[in-house]
Formats: sequence, C-alpha cells, structure tokens
Amino acid sequence: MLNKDVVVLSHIDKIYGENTKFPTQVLYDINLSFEDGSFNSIIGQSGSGKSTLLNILGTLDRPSNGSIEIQGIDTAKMKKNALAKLRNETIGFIFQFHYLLPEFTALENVLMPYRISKKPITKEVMDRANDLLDLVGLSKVKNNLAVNMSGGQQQRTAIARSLMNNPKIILADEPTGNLDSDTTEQIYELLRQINKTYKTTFIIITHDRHIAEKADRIIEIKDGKINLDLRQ
Amino acid sequence: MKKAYYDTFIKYLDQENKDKSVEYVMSLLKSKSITLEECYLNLLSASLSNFVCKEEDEDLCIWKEHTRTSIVRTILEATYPYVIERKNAVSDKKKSVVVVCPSEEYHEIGAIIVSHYFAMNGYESLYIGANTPKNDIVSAVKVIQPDILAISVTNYYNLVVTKKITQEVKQQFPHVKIVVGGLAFHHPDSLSQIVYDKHLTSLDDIAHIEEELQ
Repeated sequence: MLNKDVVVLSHIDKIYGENTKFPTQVLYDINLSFEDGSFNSIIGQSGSGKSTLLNILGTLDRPSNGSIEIQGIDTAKMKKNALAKLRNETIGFIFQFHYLLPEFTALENVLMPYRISKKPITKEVMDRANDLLDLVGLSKVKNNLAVNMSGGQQQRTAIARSLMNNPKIILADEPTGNLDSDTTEQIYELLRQINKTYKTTFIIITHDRHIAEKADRIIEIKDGKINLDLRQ
Repeated sequence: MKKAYYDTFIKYLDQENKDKSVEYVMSLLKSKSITLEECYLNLLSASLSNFVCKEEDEDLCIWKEHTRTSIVRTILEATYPYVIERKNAVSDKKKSVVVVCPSEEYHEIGAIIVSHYFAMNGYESLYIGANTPKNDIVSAVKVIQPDILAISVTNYYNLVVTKKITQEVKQQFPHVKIVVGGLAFHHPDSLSQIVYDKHLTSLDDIAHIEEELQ
C-alpha cells in the first residue's frame, strides 16, 4: 500500500447466495487503491457490479473474499459497532435519492450524522453545519423542510450532510442521476470545489459521461471485473 | 522555418481575422517559403497547442478557441491540392489507411492532419470523420478493407469506446493494423489497456510506418 492511498481493496470477490443452490458471483478478484485527495469515477453498465463495489468500499457490505483497508485499518476483523463508528467518522455518502428526512429542515438534516454520534451539538458544530449549507449555497433556505425544496436543493443538502463529520472519503452513487443537465453541472462544480478545499477523496459511480470525463481517473467495471483503469 | 511566419500567423489568429490568416498561410505555401510539413506542424498544430487562456479571459476562451480551430480547419482543407501534388510525386504507391475519431470525439484537426500526412507519403488515405460510432467504424473497415486503421483520441473518456472498437476490429479483421494517437494516450497506463499495433507520437513516424508494421 502506498502511503498516499486512503482505501485499498485486495482480491475482493463478492458472491451472493453463497450457501444456496444458485450462488451468483458479482465481483471477481478486484484489486484497487485510491489516492488521498483524488477524484475518481466508476462507470459500467447496469448489473456490472459497480454499486456492489461501492457498498463494499463503504463497508455497508462485506466481501466474500479479500480485504479492505481504510486509512491503513484492516476492516475485515472489525466488529459491527467499530465498523459503524469508522464509517460514520471517515466516509460520507451521497446517493441518487437523497434520503433526507422530510419532516426535518435542511439544517437539521445536515446535523443528523453528528446527532447519530450522540455528541452534544455545540456552537462549533452548529457553525460547521451553517458553513456547509453556505458552501452548497443554501443559507437562505436552511430552515425550510426538506420536502419543500427543489431536487437540486435536496441533493445539495445531502452533499452538505455527507460533509458534516469531515470525512476523508466521499462515496457517491449516481449523485446527479435525478437532476437536469444545468443542475448536474452545478453539483459537479460543487463536488470539485469540496475536493479542492478539503482534499476529500471522491469515488463517484456515474452514468453521466460529463461527470466521468472530468474525474482524474475513470474505472470501468464490466462483468464484475476491472475492464479499464484510466488516468488523465 | 522563420519565426516571423509563426508570429505573423498568430497575430492574425489573435485578431480572429480569418481572411488574413488563410491568405497568409496560402501565400507562404504558394511562394514555397514553407513546406507542407512546416505548415502543418509549425503553424497549424503549434497555433492550437500553444493557445493559452488567460484567467481574466476565462469567459472568452471557449469561443476564441473554437474560432481559431475553425480558421485552422479552413486552411487545412485549402492545402489539399498540395497534398495531391505530393501524393502523385510518390513513385511507389503504398497501402490504404482509414483515419477516424470515435464517437463523442470532436477534436478532429489532428486526425485530418494525420490523414493528409499518410496521403503525402503515398497512401490511399480516407478520413471518415469525427464522432463516428463504433459500428460505423467497423462497417467502414469491412467495406473499405484498409491495411491500416488510425484512431485519434483526445478526451480520455473516449478510450472506453476505443477499447471496444480496437477489440472488435482485431477480432473481425486481424490483418488490419491499428495505429493510435492523440492526447488521451499520453498516460502510460492507457496504452497497455488497448489493442494496437503502433502508437503514433510524431507525424514524422508516418514516413516509416509501413516498415514498422510489417
């Protein structure tokens, strides 16, 4: 592992239904590492295994074989609670569907990852949430309920939420999949700005070539294997 | 080639003066002040690769670059009679080549210049276009049956489709030699993942490519 690598996957296999009559292998011997502060895209057809890969990268799913190191920590033997803590403190998630809690305001949604850690909401924490909402351009609507915001505003709230615990890594699964092309461009610019400002590592699954081609690296997954690994 | 020729050409381009730019380069060729190679390499290619966008001009850069490219393309097409002249002067007629840019690849000046270079070196050279879908490239190879397929790629995302094209062409037409070139191949890892016979790094390589591909 290079010192600069923030995530290292070694010999990852994923087989669903391993103990059933019809096991299905979706990932085959994946070896990948991601440099600290890099901006990466993962592309591939539906069913290629890219979302499974992202779930394994985010420790939301465990591989059938192989290991994942996050910031030098081998996650294989970690207990569920320790893994959840590492995940909450190290990784931010952005999904195609924002999963905001509709009965809460934008600000309250952004504070949610911090509330989960059960630490008190201090003035510094509140300031950070406000700063993040400012960063994503939502200061004026921060007290609006999530349900009353536009699709672009909801996704920007989700981005601010993903940054709340100052993660080293952000994993995004089709973050612009639901948005029009103008809003997609704005979201991309925002992600790039976060990448530059906080040196956050981004790993983004996308079908949108306009997002993928602007990444520093494009990884194509095909039939559960790495078909291409391209760098600018 | 005299530096003054380049400076004058750039001055006209900076003014977006299409008439003066075209007239100037064509007059240099007509008077034999420059060779066709110097025209392509030291004037046309250099004017595009040396285009610099100042930060304060960020809003102007895209259309300025497109305007420059459009002027260069006009000059490039206007030089074709000189290409024919050079091609006819080659005594030993060489093989045939199809030059193409894959789908979504719109940077075609390099591909057109490569096509002209092949023709100047005695090849039957056909440029079939920018943004050409995979199946149409395969179909062109099937119909034209060239000895060489030359693929120009600038945007590195387009290596995804380029890999598919080269695999399919090699599978269906293993005798066709594949030549690749362009900015997308500058990272050393890119080439190792594509099927190809020759990576073109210099236009001068075209003069010796037939021997290399044997």
